[in-house]
Amino acid sequence: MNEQLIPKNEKLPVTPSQESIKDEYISGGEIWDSIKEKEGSRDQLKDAEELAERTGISSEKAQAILERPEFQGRLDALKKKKAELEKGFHRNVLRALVPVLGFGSPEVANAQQVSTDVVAVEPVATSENEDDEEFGEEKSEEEIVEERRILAEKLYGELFDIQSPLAYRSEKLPQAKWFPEDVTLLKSLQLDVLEKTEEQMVISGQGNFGDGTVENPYYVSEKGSLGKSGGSALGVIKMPENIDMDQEIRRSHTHPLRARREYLKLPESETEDKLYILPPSIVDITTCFQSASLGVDIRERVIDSKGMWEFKCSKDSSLGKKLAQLSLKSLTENNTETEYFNSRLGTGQQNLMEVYGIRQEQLADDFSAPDEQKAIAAIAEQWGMSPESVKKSMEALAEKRASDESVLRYPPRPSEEVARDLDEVVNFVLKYGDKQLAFLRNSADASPEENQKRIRDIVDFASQQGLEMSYTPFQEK
Amino acid sequence: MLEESLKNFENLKSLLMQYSLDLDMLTEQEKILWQDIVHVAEEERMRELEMTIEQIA
Repeated sequence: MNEQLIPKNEKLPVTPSQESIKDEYISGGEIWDSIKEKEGSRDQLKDAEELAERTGISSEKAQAILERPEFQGRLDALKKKKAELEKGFHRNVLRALVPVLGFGSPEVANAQQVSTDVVAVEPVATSENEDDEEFGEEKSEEEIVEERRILAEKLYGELFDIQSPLAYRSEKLPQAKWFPEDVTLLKSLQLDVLEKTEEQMVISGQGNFGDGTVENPYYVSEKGSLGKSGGSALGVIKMPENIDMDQEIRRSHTHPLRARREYLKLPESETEDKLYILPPSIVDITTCFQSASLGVDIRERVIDSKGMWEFKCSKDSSLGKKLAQLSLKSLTENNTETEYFNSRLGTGQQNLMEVYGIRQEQLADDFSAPDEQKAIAAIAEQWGMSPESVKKSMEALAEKRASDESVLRYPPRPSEEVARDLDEVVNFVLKYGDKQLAFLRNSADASPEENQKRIRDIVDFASQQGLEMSYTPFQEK
Repeated sequence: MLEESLKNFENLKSLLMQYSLDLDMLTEQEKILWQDIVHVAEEERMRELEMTIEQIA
């Protein structure tokens, strides 16, 4: 089994910093609270009036003391240091925050493109998967199927069972309507969690042919690998074209066990035969909020080795809007708008853009085109689309925006407002991240009660921010 | 994505930790400077008092 889960050539030393993550974990939330406390209570330098009041000397003399060269120099130096620290803080935090939120890397635009055909999901992987080539000698499809069965039987009792008792559900998260295809694809992803290094994703939804006929009520995209770019999944998987965008879209992806092991740089023995709960990441949450802000009714699913997370985001969430805005900022800081769109909306994103039909008008705004025809021509040329389809999309968007002022505008401008937003976002990211990491560190050995408590905690915390979640465990042996 | 997200999360925490330490250092420097200034002001006040006493005497 080790050879299935852990490649032999990936033994990495445990560094002191990784040791500290495991054994002396420093909570991000605590660091943040302590910073806010220090900022609030720091003994600021007093002015001459306060000095006079405190010591009983005259204001004039107090002023003269403060203006003495030995104090004036130190005062100026401290003032400068404070200003630099605060300015650098916002800039550096933003720079460090954007990759945490996702979309921070231009690699996103070059993300792996998968086949766009609508297909039924097979319950087993094919031998075309790159993981197989990377981690072992070539095996026949039959051998792979057999190994996966053995592995799954060893770790799970029944494969995905939708009758499992629900661990916890936020009250505001609506129940999902189930389709037979859901079970098939989730079983497939359940096995991927154990075997694959990279996250696997599938997009699904109900069909609509536009003429009232419904040939197949539920469509599922081909499975795609998300890679390790740390970027968005949006550009990677093409939405099946018959999916009805007015109904709930489902985006399901895995959190593989190997991701945990690699993050913590753990030796092989530590993850053997153990199942961990791996909650949605900050990137997953940001992506969900971004989709919601674009008016897409999306249900995200994250399949880990113990069960399935489901979540939906409110487009009205104050935090969600800030997350969506900040996650796009890094590429606007140094690039021109054209470069921004080229890097941001590469081939993969273009597919989504067409499907969502949402960004063309925004693009037109940003080209500052003097008239609509020029804007349409510019967009058509930029994206290799016909002017007719651009116009149609623009009209659809205009209609949508007329009824919804919260549609995200691109690109967001760096501003003082962004700096103000940082506090709320960083606070959420750090506290959610702490809760997420608690699962990674010891959810395999924790008691069911302890895990249940943590699940409630993270679901309730998310719900306060307009993010409604649930967790449904698999039936285990 | 999970792994990358977590690594980036650790980077953010390291940055905040450094900021927290810098804040501590700055606070300490401010405290020392303030003490020095107050000390000088108190000496000045003492001189004023002594002069007042001398004048009265």
